[in-house]
Amino acid sequence: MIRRFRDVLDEKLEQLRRGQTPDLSPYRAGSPQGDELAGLLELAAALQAVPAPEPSALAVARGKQRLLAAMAESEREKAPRALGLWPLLKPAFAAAMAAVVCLVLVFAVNALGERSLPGSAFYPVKTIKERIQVLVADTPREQAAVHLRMAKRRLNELQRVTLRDGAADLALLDAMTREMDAALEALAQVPATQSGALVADLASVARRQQSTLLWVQRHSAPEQQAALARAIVRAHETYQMALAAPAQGLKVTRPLSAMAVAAIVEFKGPVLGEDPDVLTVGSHQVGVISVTDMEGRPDLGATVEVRAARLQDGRLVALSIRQTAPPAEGLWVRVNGTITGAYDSTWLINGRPVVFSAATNLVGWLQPGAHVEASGLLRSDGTVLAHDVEVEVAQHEVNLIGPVAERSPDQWVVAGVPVKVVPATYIDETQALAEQSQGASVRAVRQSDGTLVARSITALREEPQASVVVKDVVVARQGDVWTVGDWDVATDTQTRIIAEGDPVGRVAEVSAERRPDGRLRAVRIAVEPTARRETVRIAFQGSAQWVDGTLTVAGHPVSMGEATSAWADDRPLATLRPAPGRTLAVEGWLQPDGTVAADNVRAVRTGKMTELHGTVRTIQDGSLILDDRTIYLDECVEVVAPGGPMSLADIAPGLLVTVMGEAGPDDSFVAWKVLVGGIVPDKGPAPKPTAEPEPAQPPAPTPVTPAPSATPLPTTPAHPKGGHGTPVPPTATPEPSETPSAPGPGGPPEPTPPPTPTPWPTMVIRPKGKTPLPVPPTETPMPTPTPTPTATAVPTDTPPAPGPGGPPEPTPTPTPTPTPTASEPAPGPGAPPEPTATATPMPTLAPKRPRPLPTLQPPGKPMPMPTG
Amino acid sequence: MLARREQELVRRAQSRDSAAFAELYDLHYRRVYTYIYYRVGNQELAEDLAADVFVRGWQAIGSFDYRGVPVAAWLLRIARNRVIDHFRRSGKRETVELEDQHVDLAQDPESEVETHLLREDLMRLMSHLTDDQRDVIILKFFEGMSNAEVAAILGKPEGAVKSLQHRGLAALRRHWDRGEKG
Repeated sequence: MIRRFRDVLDEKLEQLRRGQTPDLSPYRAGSPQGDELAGLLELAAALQAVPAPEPSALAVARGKQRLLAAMAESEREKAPRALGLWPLLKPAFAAAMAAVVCLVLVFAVNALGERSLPGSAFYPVKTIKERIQVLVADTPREQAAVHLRMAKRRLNELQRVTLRDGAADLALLDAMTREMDAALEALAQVPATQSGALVADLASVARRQQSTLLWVQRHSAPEQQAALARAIVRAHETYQMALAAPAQGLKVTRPLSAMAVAAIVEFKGPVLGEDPDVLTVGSHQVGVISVTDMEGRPDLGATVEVRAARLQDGRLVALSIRQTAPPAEGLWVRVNGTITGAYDSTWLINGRPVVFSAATNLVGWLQPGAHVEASGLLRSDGTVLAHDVEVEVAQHEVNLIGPVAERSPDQWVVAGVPVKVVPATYIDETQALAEQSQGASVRAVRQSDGTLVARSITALREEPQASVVVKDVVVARQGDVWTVGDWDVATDTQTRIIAEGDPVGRVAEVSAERRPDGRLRAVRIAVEPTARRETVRIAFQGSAQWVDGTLTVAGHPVSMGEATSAWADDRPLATLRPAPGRTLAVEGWLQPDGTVAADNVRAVRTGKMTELHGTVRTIQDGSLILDDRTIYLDECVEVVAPGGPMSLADIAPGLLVTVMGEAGPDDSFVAWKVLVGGIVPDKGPAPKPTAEPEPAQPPAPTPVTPAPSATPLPTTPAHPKGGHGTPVPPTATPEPSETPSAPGPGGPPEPTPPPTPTPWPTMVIRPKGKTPLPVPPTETPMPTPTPTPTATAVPTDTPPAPGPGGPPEPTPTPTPTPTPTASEPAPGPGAPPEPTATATPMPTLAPKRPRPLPTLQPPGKPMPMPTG
Repeated sequence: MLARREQELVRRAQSRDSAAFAELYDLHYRRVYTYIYYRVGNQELAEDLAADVFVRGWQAIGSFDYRGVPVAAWLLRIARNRVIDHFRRSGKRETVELEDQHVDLAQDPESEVETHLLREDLMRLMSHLTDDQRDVIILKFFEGMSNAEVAAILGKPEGAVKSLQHRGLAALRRHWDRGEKG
């Protein structure tokens, strides 16, 4: 018996379905039937392997609800029959029969009306019937159900009309929106215990609206896009409301509908930027708001699919964000947020580890609590290798100096004020061990909850007089009492007040002393002028010079006014006329004329401290000549004498002094401290300056001013609290002493060095505000470090090359080492590593003083200047 | 065992026990949905029509005779009629413009998208089949039904089902070989 091919095929398919391997019998491989059978079996196997489509769980539940409702309704319809209506109708049978024809007609019209679309003669029948349904619904629950049903109908009609006409019917769209709003309004009055099924239905309708409207949008005219986009946004919001309803009740919130939505867009790309409220996806910046649907925040560098509303002003606000691929390394990313911690060369910005290297451009000072914006390369371990980091200037700074009343791992009480200690707080114990200190100098930032978080604490051996420096907004001024931030400060006739106009609402810096009764008396109040918004905020560091009566720092003209805060390290100064060669860290506003109006000028220690012994030969304004060497002086200099407090004015020729200071590369010498040793009775030839190293004995304690903030010397680097910071082997090497160069034939050097043209080092200037990110490079995106000009580099303990135990970061190109001064002694065998070569890397130095320098700009690179 | 349970549910449903019919819904919804999905090519429409099928099933359960066909086949017969009805009402050809469908990316991880594309290819291929051929392919390969069940649903003899299966597969293979996925 010859079997038909279809039967053979069916038999083999059955075998295949049972998981058996069918053979080709009775056909042979290579024969036409054999080949066809093999091909069809292969195809059948492929078909069977296709996964079954899965309906959404919501749809399954919704369908069941619909079924249950239909079943309940059909049972209700049957009930009157059970009551025996028929006998009642019997007397009117004839009339009823007569009405049958009419009824048939009514039902026919009704049925046609149900399927009708706008434009059809039967459509009004449908709408009239719907109005009646709304009228007879007398409870909020029924009303909600009716309106939801109407909204579904409008959506179906809209879809069908779009198919029919090739354009959306916006009147239907409006009607649908009205029905949804009415449904929501009614639903809000239904008790939560009874609204569950309706809310599920609401979610289902809203979801279907979204997908259908997106389809409609693709088939509609351009002028209809905005209206459809708004409807999609509304549907999205409704869906989110319904999803949130079980947890928090049905709350009508429409943050997106309040915006001017122009269109709905969908795109896909890597997450390149992390801000609290904005994600950068590819070249788009998209806002994230309360109704944005996403399962947790996407990972930095991950690929995401975004559906967003494009507003009329071009901004994008995300409706939904879905991560579709894990993070890819090597992307150029941006992180924006608050510094929450630090370890080794890594800082946590909003919890994201950001690694610093010598090539990192740093603007500002990294301190816990500060708000920063960093950009760099995303690495495979999720860390970001920072290339640019900008620190926002804090407006809520508090500096405290005073006795320490309490000390615990979490909190210090200094000058009567509790200050929170966090892992990133840098505790400087170079002057005294924290446990043995009597006082402390604290720099802190006020948080939004009013607590103070310490950025750095310098433990002091002595117990200083309590003083507080607050930088915050002036909240009120009543008589002599100013309220600045959380602080009430009393003023009197001795208080120096620098303010123009009404200070309330502006930022002021208040230096105050804390009286025994705990109240604050202001010594100085400087109110910042209103922000010069047209300028660019910059922060930089460099050597001070005077050129034609103008102060320049790193070659840049700097103006200091009454509102400028001046500091010697952490010690506030009433005034400052910096000595030539003094290294200053300047924060301020770049003016259109190229000058920098300084808000904050801080003298910082950058190099090795050197001691000079000798007899004062002459002293004049701004300098003294010690034997044959000119030493520059300014308000930063502390004068220490065994007999009591002294000032610079008390120093007279003939005094035997020890001057501690820093030697500049051009053989200049800037003093930090003058120790008065005594008067040399014989004013004969000056004793030779000693070349012997001074013992590491610190100077006698100053009776008046505690040395609040001596810089940790490079040879004895401090370790931040809790093992933070780069481990550098501690060493007991005494400070190296200066070997002064022999006086030249021309006598002592000129008091003022010739104003050599200095290129602008250490400048990183960026316009204030958010700048769009560059599109990430596709390959080799490693930033090329900015070359550092060695000739003009300011010596710094920011190391160009990581020392032993330094950060593991391979810097792409080693930054040239700053040229050490010729007078420094060469390290002997077995000597500790040369400080300039082994100094701690930039990130660990960040909280220390001196501050890390921003990387130098390449010489000749034009500086961006505001044109306005 | 399952057949007995199903029989019991049908009996209860016929005496207007809605809980019993709701249980039948749980047992057969996915099957009905799958069939409709492959016929209409749109997830949401398929979900809606599948729910409809059960509402109609409830209305017609009284006339169901268990000895004739299993419940699944009976429901799929309703589903088939419902799909035909849908296309007739909307005045559309029974093909779906797949490129117009909105893929809800929010619901689909990468593998889901791949599966979705695979199904799209498949449905484009199936658009070359006649309605009967398509029904046979869906019911046999995606629903796993026997020739007898398919024959009961389509109201055709088993021999005709085998022929439709053969011609359907052959047509699919022809278009597949031509690379006509789209």
